[in-house]
Amino acid sequence: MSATFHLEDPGGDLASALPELAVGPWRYAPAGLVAFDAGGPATPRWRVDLVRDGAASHQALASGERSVARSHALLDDVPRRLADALDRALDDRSLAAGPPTRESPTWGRLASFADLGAPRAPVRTAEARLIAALTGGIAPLELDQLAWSAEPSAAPAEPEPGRLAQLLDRVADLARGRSRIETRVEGALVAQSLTTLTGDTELWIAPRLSLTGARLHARSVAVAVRTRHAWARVLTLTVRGAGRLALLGLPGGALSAVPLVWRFVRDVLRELRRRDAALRPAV
Amino acid sequence: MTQDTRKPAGGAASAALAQLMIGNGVDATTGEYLLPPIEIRELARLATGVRLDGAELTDVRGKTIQKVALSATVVEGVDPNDLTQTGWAVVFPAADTGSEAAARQAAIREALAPLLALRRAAAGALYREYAGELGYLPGETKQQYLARLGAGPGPARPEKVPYYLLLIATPEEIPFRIQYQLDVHYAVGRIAFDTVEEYARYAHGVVDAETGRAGRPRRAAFFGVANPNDAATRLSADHLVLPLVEYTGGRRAEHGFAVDSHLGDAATRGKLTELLGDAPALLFTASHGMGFPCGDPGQRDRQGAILCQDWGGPGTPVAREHYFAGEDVPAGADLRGMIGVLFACYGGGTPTRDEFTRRALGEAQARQLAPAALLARLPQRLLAHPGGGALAVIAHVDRAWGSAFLWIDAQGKGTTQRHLDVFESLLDSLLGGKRLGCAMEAFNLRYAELAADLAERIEQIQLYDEHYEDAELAHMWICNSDARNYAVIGDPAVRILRAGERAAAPPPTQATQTATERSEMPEARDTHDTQDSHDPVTGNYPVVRDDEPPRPRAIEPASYGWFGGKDDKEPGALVRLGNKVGEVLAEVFNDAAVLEVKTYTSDDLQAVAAGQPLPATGARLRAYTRCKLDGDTEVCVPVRTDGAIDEALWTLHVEMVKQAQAHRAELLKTVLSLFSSRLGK
Repeated sequence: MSATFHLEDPGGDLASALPELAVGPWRYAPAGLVAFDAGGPATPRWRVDLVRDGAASHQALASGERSVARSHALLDDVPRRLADALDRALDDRSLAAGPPTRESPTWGRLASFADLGAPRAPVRTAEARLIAALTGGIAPLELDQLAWSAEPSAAPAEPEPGRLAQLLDRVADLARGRSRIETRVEGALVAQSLTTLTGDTELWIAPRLSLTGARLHARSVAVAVRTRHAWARVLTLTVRGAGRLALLGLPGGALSAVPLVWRFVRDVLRELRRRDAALRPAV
Repeated sequence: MTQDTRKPAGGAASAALAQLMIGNGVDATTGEYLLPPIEIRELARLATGVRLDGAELTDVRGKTIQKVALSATVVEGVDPNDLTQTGWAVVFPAADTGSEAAARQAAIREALAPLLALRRAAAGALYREYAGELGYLPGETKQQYLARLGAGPGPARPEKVPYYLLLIATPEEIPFRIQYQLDVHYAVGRIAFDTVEEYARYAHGVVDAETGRAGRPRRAAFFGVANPNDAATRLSADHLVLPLVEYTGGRRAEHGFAVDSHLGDAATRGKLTELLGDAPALLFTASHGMGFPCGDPGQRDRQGAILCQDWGGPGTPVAREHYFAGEDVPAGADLRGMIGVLFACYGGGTPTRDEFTRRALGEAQARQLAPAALLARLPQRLLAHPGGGALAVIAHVDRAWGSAFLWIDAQGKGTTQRHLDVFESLLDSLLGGKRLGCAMEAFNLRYAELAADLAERIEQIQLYDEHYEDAELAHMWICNSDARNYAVIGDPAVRILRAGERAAAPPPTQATQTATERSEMPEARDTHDTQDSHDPVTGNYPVVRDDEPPRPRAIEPASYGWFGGKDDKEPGALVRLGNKVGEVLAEVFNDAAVLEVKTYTSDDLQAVAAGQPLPATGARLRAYTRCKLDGDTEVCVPVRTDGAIDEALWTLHVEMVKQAQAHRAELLKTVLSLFSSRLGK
């Protein structure tokens, strides 16, 4: 048995949010079995289950840390990639409608994003889907929708609009509220932390926790906190991106800015998963 | 080599179960939880304590074989809807001749005379009354009792014991568990009222409905609560009620029932009152049920009451005006001909001891839920309403779980799936005119299947030392218990008449026909079914009313209201998201001045995890750091009894402080990036 990372969300339904967010090693606790005599406590629980083998546990945590770090690296790139994609979309529209003129209402905004004369590089899936949505083109098939994908949740269906609105709300709540992070070794709870958005922390440990156990918990907390921070970044990037998109005057842009940018950010994050899938040997 | 079968839980199954361990009741006055959370391992231990006796196991296994062999037929060669073939019986608790109990039973029997006469006329030679020495004896197992009546385990043989059994007993006199066990092969219902008059009212209500003296419009009403921030009711509204509304609406051509739905914001206490003022033939509700502390003065009358949309959700107090109890049924209501399905914890009743601990720990050590087992007041009131009682109510005894409609793979390998087959089967059967006990067969089969699965799994573990995860067993056990606890309150032979069906002839003797006689059956009103989902942005559900004309479903371009409502007066999702992020910003700036890290030690981390107050956890504050923005820092360092620094603890504490500081810096950077973007930089 290897280490596992689970996120349980008693106050909401993360079943669809986590596959959408695709940050870090976390798997969601599927909603469903809930009691109808009570509401649930609102604090989400990040649960890291480790094995007794310290080396294996450190390896699992290192893998989790790398996964989150790579997500952050991708998020670092989102503003630039989004700007490039918008630029490309505007360019495509302009080509279809004839050359832009100085009188064109989009000219000034366009100029601030890219140089019209730059050579056109091949686009990635995230960009291609966004451009297709903005220009009415056809989006390419996603790699992770192919049949050999090992994870059934790798390509969740697009969330319905109402679901997406709820999901964004919930992500905002999760990024902002308190979190409980638990470290368990062979099922036994050895330490837990309660953290707030801004980092205030209450840490609870067993009195005779070893130095190794202490370090494992510190790393568990780091993975959880960095994941939560990535969510906060996803939200801010979505707000920023949607605000920009809304101002561009693209058809459909005003009405669907949030879902389009959300999908773009998500698609960028999924590249990590696709990369991992591509590297996984076909068995 | 064998594996350690007591290995603690972990993995996906464990995570899937996390939500099971929460929320064991809401105190009606404080909104706090009644019982501490249950640990997965504890549940698994309880699960392995489950001992189906040989006969019971034979029953549930036999039932699953029947399912395969006989499809939906439960009595071989017998039409389960024909009382002349199935028989019908009442079952009283045993009472000595001349005793006070016997006298009371005689009075009840007299009050029920119209109903008994109606059933006798229908069942003929297969009509039975089990009372006196043929009544149920305290402490008897189901098999012992059936054996005394001449029946063995297995399918009902009506010539031995009728298929339809109406228990006339409180759950103290005939325990809920006997009802569940009998229900595996028989169609079982129960009535118990405080007064003889209530028995009379119920009997008249059923007779009036079945003989055409009273009836309901052919309308099915669905009432689905979705309290704010409440996962349970949101799931039930989205994955139980709404799909059932669509399913029932889609089959209107077959059963002729109009459908109206009141979901989410529309599912208020006021709406439920209104609904019962003009009751439909079928009322389906899904909500939380109220739980009161054991012995609370309000428990007897309000336990299991429907917690409506009026409640603000977890963390907010529950007020009396938030829930609908038996006393809230409008005085002028006429419920004759109505069948209710109440999906809520304790909606049907409450056992004395928590079933989840009773089996494993024994009666004495199990948690006490109520001073005496209760039949919930709301169904009692619906059945014996002075204005005319309902036919029956299907409701849940003890806690209800989402496993009834959402299936999670016990080993955490599969995805969560919605399964409404038993509910759809129930609705098809009821709206198609089948008798209630027969319509419940899908539920009984489901219980039998789950119980057999669980028993097999436990056997494998105990006999063959097979590896298992605590979460897997706990999950199976909860699903099994949940499936078992759906109970019929009322006569299991009642049914909703089919359209145009000729009503039954009145019973030969109508001893006390009273002023409850009502008008002829009104014409069924035409209402459109609804295929709408809830509002994608607000989460509100559509309100469908009978008096509205059917709405054409125009195809419109997708406009999801991201920026504003259709009239542009309501904020859209981008605005709401912006506001939300704005709130986060404010929180960050308000909280950024001071950073605190506290490190405690506790021998009982489980108590800490369960959210118990500090003194109860035995926790000690061992290290403390407080950093101000201006650089001032307070630090308390942990030392052992010998005066040396507790190195492991200090290392961890320092690491946590460093992390918290780094995180705060990163967060501020993120926030400022948004801020600069907002300023157009």
